[in-house]
Amino acid sequence: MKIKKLRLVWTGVSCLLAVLFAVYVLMDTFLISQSYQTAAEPNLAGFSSEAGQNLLSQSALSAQGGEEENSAQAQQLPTDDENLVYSDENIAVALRTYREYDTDIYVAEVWLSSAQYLKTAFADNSYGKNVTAKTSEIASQSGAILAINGDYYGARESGYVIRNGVVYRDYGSSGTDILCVYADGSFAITNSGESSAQELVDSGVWQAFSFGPGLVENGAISVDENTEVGKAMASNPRTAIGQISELHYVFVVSDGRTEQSEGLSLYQLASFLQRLGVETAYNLDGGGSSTMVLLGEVINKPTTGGSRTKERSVSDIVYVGTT
Amino acid sequence: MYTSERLNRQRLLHSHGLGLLFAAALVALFGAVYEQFSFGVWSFWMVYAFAPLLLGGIWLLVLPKRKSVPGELFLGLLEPGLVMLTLGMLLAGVVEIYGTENRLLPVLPTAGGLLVLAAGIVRGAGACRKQPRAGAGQPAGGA
Repeated sequence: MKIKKLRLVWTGVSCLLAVLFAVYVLMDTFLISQSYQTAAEPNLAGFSSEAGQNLLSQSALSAQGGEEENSAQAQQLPTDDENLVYSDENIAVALRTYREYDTDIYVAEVWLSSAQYLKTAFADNSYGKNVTAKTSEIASQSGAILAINGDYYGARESGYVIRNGVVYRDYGSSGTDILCVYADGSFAITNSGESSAQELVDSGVWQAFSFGPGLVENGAISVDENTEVGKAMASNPRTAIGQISELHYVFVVSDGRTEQSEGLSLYQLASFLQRLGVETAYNLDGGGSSTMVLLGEVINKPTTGGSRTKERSVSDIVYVGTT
Repeated sequence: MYTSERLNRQRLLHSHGLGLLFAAALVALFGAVYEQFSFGVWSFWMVYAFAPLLLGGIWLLVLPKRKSVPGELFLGLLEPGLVMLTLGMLLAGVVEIYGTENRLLPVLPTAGGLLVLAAGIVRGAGACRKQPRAGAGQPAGGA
């Protein structure tokens, strides 16, 4: 009888401890906020005269058939695009809305005079875990003209984080596609096993994202119809960024999970981007995170907590701006 | 082992086995409902979280029919182990479906796996031990 009582006590206590531990893990994963460091000042070393002389970016440029001179002045910003919603001497943004695959897709076409206007920002200006804010709030604090959600680095414990020329996380997760944005404005998709984060910065990488997968490389679709993020096998809201030509980009966000918009598979997104004429395109965090903010206004219909239209808080954004 | 004690243990294992099968059904239902609201994102851990409880339940239902019936130590190791394994798998499923990570995720499945392994060893040792003849006045021990 005594042994039975002991067993009951032991079973009760161990199960209770297991439940408490599980609750702690859930809180650590989703709630407990840890700021590791304040965002550093941008490292503009890559924009020196040596910028863009790395092999990767050169090969990316030559793949685009470009012998163009890599200089800010080479980029001609458009002035006559009827969809132009913003234009100054360094940045031009045109917004177009498409309806494909039963889904509303928002495309912001961006022309820059220099890649230093293609920036990123952290929630609360802090690199950390569970440090989040809405895309529109981060965009507002950053003075963004156009912003989309980033790769939600804070949801993962590995994967390079290079932002504005500064390395924040230097351990990658094997097999993950990394989008490198070089100081010369070129995009290249690489793998964390190929170079260290510091080597990437030394070779001129200005931003690096670890989400993926790469959608389009050298103008060809690089995902198949069964490729998915994790084990998502359904259409979803999506966010992607692509390069059409030198300092000419598209920021793409699709709706999904609503009666009006079904959402896109990665293959559909890649096909759409290819038709837009991108040479390189990369998938960023999607689902409820997918948000596009233009001049302070949320353009798409972000869904959080099911099909409710509401912005989700994220770790980081990609934006264009001068501040 | 006295016949009445053996019968009590058989009944105990039987009722615990049925309890584990019922818990497995609840976990399977939870997993199915969770997957339903996951927008097509699925996780191996969530889908199969019911498996440890199901296998444990079947084990407990089969054991009373064997010659050597395990005792309190075996149950005291097996059931917390199964609970930890199941909780660990559900946790991993939730985290994976959300698309995030946590370095602490392996802790519960590892602890649970070790406890179930220990229960298996206790059971194995008990089964191998020579059983005293009935009426010898020597009740069987823990395992």
